[in-house]
Amino acid sequence: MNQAAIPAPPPHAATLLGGGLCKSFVSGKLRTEVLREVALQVWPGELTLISGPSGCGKSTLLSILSGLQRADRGRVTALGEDLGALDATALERFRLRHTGFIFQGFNLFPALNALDQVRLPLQYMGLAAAEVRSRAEAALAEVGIAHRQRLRPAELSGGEKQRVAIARALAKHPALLFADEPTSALDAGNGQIVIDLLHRIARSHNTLVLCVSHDPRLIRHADRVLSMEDGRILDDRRLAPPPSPLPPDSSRMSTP
Amino acid sequence: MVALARQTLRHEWRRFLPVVVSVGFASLLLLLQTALVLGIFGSASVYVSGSAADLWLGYPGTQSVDQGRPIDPDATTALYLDPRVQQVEPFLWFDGDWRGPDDTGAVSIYVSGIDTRADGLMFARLLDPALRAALREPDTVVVDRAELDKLGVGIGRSARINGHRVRVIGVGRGLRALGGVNVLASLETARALNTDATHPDWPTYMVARLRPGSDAAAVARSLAGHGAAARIEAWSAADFARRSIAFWMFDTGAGSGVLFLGGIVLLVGVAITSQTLLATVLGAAREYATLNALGVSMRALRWVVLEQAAWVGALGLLGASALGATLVALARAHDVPVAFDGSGWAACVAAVMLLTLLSALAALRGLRRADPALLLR
Repeated sequence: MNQAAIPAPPPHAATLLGGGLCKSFVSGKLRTEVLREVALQVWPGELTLISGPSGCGKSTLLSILSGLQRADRGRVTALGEDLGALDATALERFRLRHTGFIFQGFNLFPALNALDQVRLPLQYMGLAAAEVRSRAEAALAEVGIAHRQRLRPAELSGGEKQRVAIARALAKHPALLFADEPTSALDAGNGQIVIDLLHRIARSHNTLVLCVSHDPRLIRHADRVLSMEDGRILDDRRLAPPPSPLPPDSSRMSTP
Repeated sequence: MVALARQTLRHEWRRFLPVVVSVGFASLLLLLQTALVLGIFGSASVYVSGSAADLWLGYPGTQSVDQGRPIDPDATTALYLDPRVQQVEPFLWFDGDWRGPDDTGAVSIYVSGIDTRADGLMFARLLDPALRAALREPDTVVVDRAELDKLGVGIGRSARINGHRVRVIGVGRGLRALGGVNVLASLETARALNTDATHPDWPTYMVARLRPGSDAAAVARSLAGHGAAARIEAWSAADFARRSIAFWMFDTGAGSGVLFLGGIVLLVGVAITSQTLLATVLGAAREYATLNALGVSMRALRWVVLEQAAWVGALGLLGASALGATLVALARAHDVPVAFDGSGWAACVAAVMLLTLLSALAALRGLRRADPALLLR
């Protein structure tokens, strides 16, 4: 791995660590190695991008680091918790408390308006109804579509839908935010809005934002870019200095 | 509170309509089948349910009203001695051979010889008092108005029963029998028609009205303990009606055939409903997977699917009940033997909700596609 000139934050400050990660898929008699001994550290407060050609294993790495899938070998530590040691229920609980997801397809329920899309996952967090509502409204305001909160997905543009999806993830106040190709279904203008939002969320909430993309626009705006090929990280470039001093936890978005 | 199940149902009603329709049709079939079963097999007990008698005495071991055999009137004297008994009358029942005036061939009939006094117990709930009085004229009979065609007669026309000439003096409603035609006559006329050479006067049953407040089942038990018990058996009216219906329902091929058909309706209902429900689950698999990625448990998502299924079942039942009630009323107006009560409806509701639950459980496998890791490929 190459290290660029800009120094990385100290390893102990990393909130997400992967070590010796291996994953392979078997199809018939064919065994494909998707990840080969991948090790990485990801820090909060910055937008980290994993890029690489399709089939290089970047999405698999994202799903293992986010606790959606288990590695064949290796270890993932997120917020000090060994994800490999958690059973399926405990993993769901961990994801509910700490992680947000943004997918390429917006995956919004056609029946729900923007506000309800954001409120829905919050409901399962055991929050009071008033807090669910205020968090949802704040998140929609933060992504700039508070005025569209009564509209259903069919009445929203692609960019607006992705912003609802971001608000849905953001309203949970996650420490870890994962995004998979969040801009590839969007035009230039909307893609730029989404990129700026992800960047801003990382900075203002001290959230760890880990993003998988091959969108060159996104690469330019990332704080750090990990380049993957054939299941390995070939390059680790830092494009911006780490946020310094790191914002304290209390600066995370609070309930209005 | 975001009610995902209900809001989705309302918004995507086109997607759920086939499920509601399939549940609705299964419900309607079950409801109508139940109404027919209750109506048809209920007519097995029409002698009991249509009469005002509280107590029935008959041949020991009689399984259904229409299986009665003559009893010795002397064996029933205890009935007259019991202070709880207010009124006693004989009921004569036998099968006969009807020949209409025209060329309609022979028809198997059941002759009921009843007391024609104004306060007579037999068929008190079905027979118009004027019609009962009219039967006092010798050699006259009353039949159900829906049977006139089958018997090949009209009111006022004559026919022959067991070779004896009778005249149809009027028609009633709700008198249809299972497996034959009911013909009502006075006790005197019936005795004249009876071909039982040994005991033409012996009644098939003795029926009694009890004094208000008496427990029919207790009286029946005490009569059974009497010395003549070996020659007669006593039942409360409710017990005897149940016995008759159960005999037809469970001890004849007809009943098990209907139950089998009910089972088939449920099975086909589950097959169709689970498939259409599965399609709706699969249609939302990506959204469910996203919720699961955000930490909403699979258990919670299963509840969403089950809640949706419960609503679908309730909507299907609602539609089927409205349509079913209309069709039952229509059938009744055309003298089709249908009957419906709360317990029949409750049994159908339970069966349909079971159908829906089984379908939903089968459709839950669609949630396996809601694996969030699949969203990242």
